[in-house]
Amino acid sequence: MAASDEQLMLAYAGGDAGAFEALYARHKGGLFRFVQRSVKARAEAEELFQEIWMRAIEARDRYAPQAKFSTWLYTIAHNRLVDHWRTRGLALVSLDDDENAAPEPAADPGSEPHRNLEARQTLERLAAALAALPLAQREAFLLHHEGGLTAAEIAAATGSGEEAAKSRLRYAMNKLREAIGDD
Amino acid sequence: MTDQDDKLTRRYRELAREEPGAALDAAILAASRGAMARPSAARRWGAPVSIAAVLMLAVGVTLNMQREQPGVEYPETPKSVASEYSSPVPESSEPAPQSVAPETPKRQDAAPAPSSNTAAALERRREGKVVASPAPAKNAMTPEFFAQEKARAVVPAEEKAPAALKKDTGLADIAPQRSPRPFSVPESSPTAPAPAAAAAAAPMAPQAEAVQSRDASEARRAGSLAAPGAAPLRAKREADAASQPALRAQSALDDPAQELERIARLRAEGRHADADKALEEFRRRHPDFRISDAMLERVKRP
Repeated sequence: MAASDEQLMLAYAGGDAGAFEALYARHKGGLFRFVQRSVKARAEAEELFQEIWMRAIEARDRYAPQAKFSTWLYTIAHNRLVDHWRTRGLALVSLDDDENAAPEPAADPGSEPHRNLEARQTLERLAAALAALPLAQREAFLLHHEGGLTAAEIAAATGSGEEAAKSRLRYAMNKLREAIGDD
Repeated sequence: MTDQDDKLTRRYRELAREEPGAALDAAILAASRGAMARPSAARRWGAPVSIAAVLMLAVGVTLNMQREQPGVEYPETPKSVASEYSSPVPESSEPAPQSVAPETPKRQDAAPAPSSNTAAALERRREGKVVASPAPAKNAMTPEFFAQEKARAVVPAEEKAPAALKKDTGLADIAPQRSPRPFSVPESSPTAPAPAAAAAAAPMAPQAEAVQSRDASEARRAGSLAAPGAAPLRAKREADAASQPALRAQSALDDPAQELERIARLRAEGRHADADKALEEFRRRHPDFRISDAMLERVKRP
């Protein structure tokens, strides 16, 4: 039976470098996509991604398995993204009336890879819809789909209320379903 | 989760396959291994900071305890010592400051646990170096003085405890040690202590005995140092007391009216010889005093 994330992190804090490699392999993809879809530019995403992991490494002695490791890791990521948005004069946490929030400008469809026409069109619509989501809704969606966090864990990671997290997640999914024609 | 949610999730998985580059993976894993080689800041500074904090706390507590050591008597200002000690002296014509110097060591005797300074002063006193105190009085080393000192020092076991117990405080066994008995207390003032007071005073008896023995030895030393022709203080007091009627008579002689009244009484009693003699003496002492006619009738020989 494979060790849990929490056990791996404790082992790494105890000096087991191999435990971190296993932990990194489990979460690197989801965290990277969470960051990249939050900031869009890959270079910027790679820089933030590395900083988030460095923060996790430095904080290994303070880690206590009071919650899931993924919640702890995505809390670090959320805080780093907040700092990132602040340097750009943006606020990551939107209002409760997220439905009326101004959407982000759509991403340039030409920058996305496309393997075939249908896949490219789907990608473009979904990516455009995801990029058009308000920041808080997009973050809630990514935390749920990339980090595997529940609404309560999203609330804990972002410092918001659970109902607000549920609302944001519901709004985000409704918009994305509409974008891909599944509504 | 609904079917629509599942469908959205599948579509999203189909679209989202980005991964960090191999170089980025290598950099992060290298950083994680490097962090294992060097201890974190908490581990690096935790032990030294903890040791430093413990040492500072220990030093602080030690200094505080030394400064606030219970039972230690600190020397009082010379003003208060002089004011307390000068009260029994005034009827004597000897200079008042004679007893200021021995008073300070006397207070240190009452301290149960003298500090290093007071202990050193006590040791010097035992060695007979008390003469080197800041204001030694030459005639303070008289046998009378030390005899009085001894008589007063013997009293504390009987006298200090009742005085302290009267204060109805919970510090009855501490107060007498911290508050030295002022010398203004009359020697005859203490009465026989009640049995309870005597029992309470019992723990202090050894201390009083120690003080008594020290004072006795000092009295012996002082006796050897004292001038052989020095007059005993008590004898002088007694002589002063005996001379009081004569002084009063002298003051009566100084008052012409009273003297004339006394002569008139002698004349009325028929002691004319004494009256004549007194009248002659009165004329000699008060040659310019004008005797009224009425008084002259009373004092002159009929």
